[in-house]
Amino acid sequence: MREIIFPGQSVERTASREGTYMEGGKVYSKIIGLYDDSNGNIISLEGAWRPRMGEKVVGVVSEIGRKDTYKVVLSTNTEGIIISGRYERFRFKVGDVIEASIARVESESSVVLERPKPLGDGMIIEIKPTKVPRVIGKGNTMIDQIANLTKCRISVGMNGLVWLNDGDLRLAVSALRRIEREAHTSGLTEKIKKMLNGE
Amino acid sequence: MASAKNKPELLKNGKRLDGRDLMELRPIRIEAGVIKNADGSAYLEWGNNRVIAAVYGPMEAQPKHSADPARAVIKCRYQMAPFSGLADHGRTGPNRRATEISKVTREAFENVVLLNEFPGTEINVYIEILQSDGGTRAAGITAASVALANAGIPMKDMIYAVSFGKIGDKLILDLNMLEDNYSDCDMPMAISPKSGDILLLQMDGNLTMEELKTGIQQVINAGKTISAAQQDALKRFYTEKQQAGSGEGRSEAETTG
Amino acid sequence: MEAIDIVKSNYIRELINKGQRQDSRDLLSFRDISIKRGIIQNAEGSAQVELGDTKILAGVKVMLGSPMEDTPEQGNQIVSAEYWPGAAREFEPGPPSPEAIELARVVDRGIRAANCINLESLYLEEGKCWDVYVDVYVLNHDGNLIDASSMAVMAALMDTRMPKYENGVVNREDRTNKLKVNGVVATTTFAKIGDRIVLDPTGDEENAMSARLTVANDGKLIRAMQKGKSGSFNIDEVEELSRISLEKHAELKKIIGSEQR
Repeated sequence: MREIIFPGQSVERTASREGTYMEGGKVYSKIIGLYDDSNGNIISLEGAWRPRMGEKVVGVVSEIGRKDTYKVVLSTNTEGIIISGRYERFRFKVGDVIEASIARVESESSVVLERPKPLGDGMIIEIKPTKVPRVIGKGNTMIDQIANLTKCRISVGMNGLVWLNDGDLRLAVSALRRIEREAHTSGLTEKIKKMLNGE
Repeated sequence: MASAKNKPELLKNGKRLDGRDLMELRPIRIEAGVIKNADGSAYLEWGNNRVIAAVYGPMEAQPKHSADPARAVIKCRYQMAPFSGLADHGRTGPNRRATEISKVTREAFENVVLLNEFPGTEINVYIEILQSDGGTRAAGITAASVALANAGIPMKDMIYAVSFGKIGDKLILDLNMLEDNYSDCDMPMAISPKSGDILLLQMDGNLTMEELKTGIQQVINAGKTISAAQQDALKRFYTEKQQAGSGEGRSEAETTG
Repeated sequence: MEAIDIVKSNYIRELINKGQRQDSRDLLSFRDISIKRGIIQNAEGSAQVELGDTKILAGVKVMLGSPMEDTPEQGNQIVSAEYWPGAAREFEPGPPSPEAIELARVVDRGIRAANCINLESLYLEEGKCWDVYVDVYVLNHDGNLIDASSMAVMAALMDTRMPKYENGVVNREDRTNKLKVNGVVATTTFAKIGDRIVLDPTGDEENAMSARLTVANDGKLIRAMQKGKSGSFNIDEVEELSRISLEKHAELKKIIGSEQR
């Protein structure tokens, strides 16, 4: 059974320490989430993005520094830095949308990026970072399905920024918004498939 | 406390003027997620009180010197809308009363929010009293607690607040405006229901030791009802949102090319 | 986050250049509008307007005041606006911003110019009159605050029940008489984005606009105008937008003027 769990509610068993804290030998939830009592998982329903090394992000170049360093907006709280290395020569301008990997997490508010790649023109939307794993799907199934059926080029960052271009953008955005709303329901891949096929 | 002069009868046949029993709460209804731009929000109706609360953050603390490198800082602003009262038109902007309430509210939340998880950031809590009928600071805290949970802010607990007071030698719970003005005691408290810890406590008037004990116990007992209203708001928000999702929703893009 | 707004603005310009909008609206259509009346019972009048995701609450308090020296036989109409910091990430607490003051003044101007409230009817006796305080609260900001606020204020005024003034004393127990409101002023706000013009811009569209024009009218006459931002309109555009504004009045009046409380 999956049920909504509130901050301060005690949980009998937990699979991971994510979303919980210990006090007096007992485990409590610290967030609003969905608790699955069969495996002890807590999925958070809300919350800010916490950067992790190796994650893929989408961002917008916001500042050009000295010696080809760039600042990149990733979220309201996190900024990325690109340092041009010997093997990575590129030129960006303010407003360029890029995808990159997190090379190093300096702090919650500052990360170093590597392998930046320009994404070109297009639109960006913000989705809740907690819903990104569902938007991507296991082994990219969900996002590949959307890209294939809408003929859009899509890049999803773990930070919640999504870049899209070409194809049926309106349909793709509707699908992304629906996944965001219904992230905690089951059979979502099929539902989205039907929606994209106009069924 | 107003003076005893012109003091109206606040109890008739053992009931309060609005028909409540001594320890009866006014009806509470909360709605979560009412401010689309906010990271978390809540609208609360508590008796005739109408309160809206919004949370933004954690985000980079501004100005930078206000940041604490070890933890997040909470910035809280309680304010009353100029049309919130019956008899007056209040001026906007914080007065001394609102500034004090903002401070004690912030301190209550600093106890439960896990501040060390977001060093260098700020969490903004805005509480606006759109209509007031006594007990607005308690209503504000109860609403803001839902807004913080709705924002996904990690917390040890979802706190609630309510006040107790006294008419003659009778203790009462959840004072309305009239009772607040003329009762013999007003004691607002904020409680962490998990531990029973008291996170906000103010009082003026007079109380015996015995009354103090009984009053605190009544505030603790009332927690079940208030917490249930908070949890119900969040449950409805997350389950109704999932049902509303059957439609196509608002599209944001037009086909290009 | 301004860099993200640049990307969004570029995309919106590209779309509008093709005559399209992000939410599939026509260039000259309003978003969905809903109005709730009388939600603040302590106030003499109130209304909450939702224009798409923009949410505005207007409250009216009627207080005993004194006429101004230069208008000794009139009451007063005082409109203020609060950019509630909970309404948008970029709103900051503090004294009213120039934007908030402009919002209040533009809303006030149309209603005042059309004499929607007959200020002489607010006169009570020598040295005494009613002051009608109208406060606009922005609760969520997604663009076009002016039109949403105008609707909320107009609806709140039409919802207003006057206190009684008896022997020098204000009685708020009995608020049965309605404030007399003459006519309905509605505003229409246009945004210039690239070379094209759209009605009722969203927040993202406002970030992309170079100029803004608001036209207030009562269905017959233009009653107030305000041009905003550093871009410009040519003479033909101003004439055309004024004409469209007059055309839109009937539609807006129907939404604002509904009698149900």
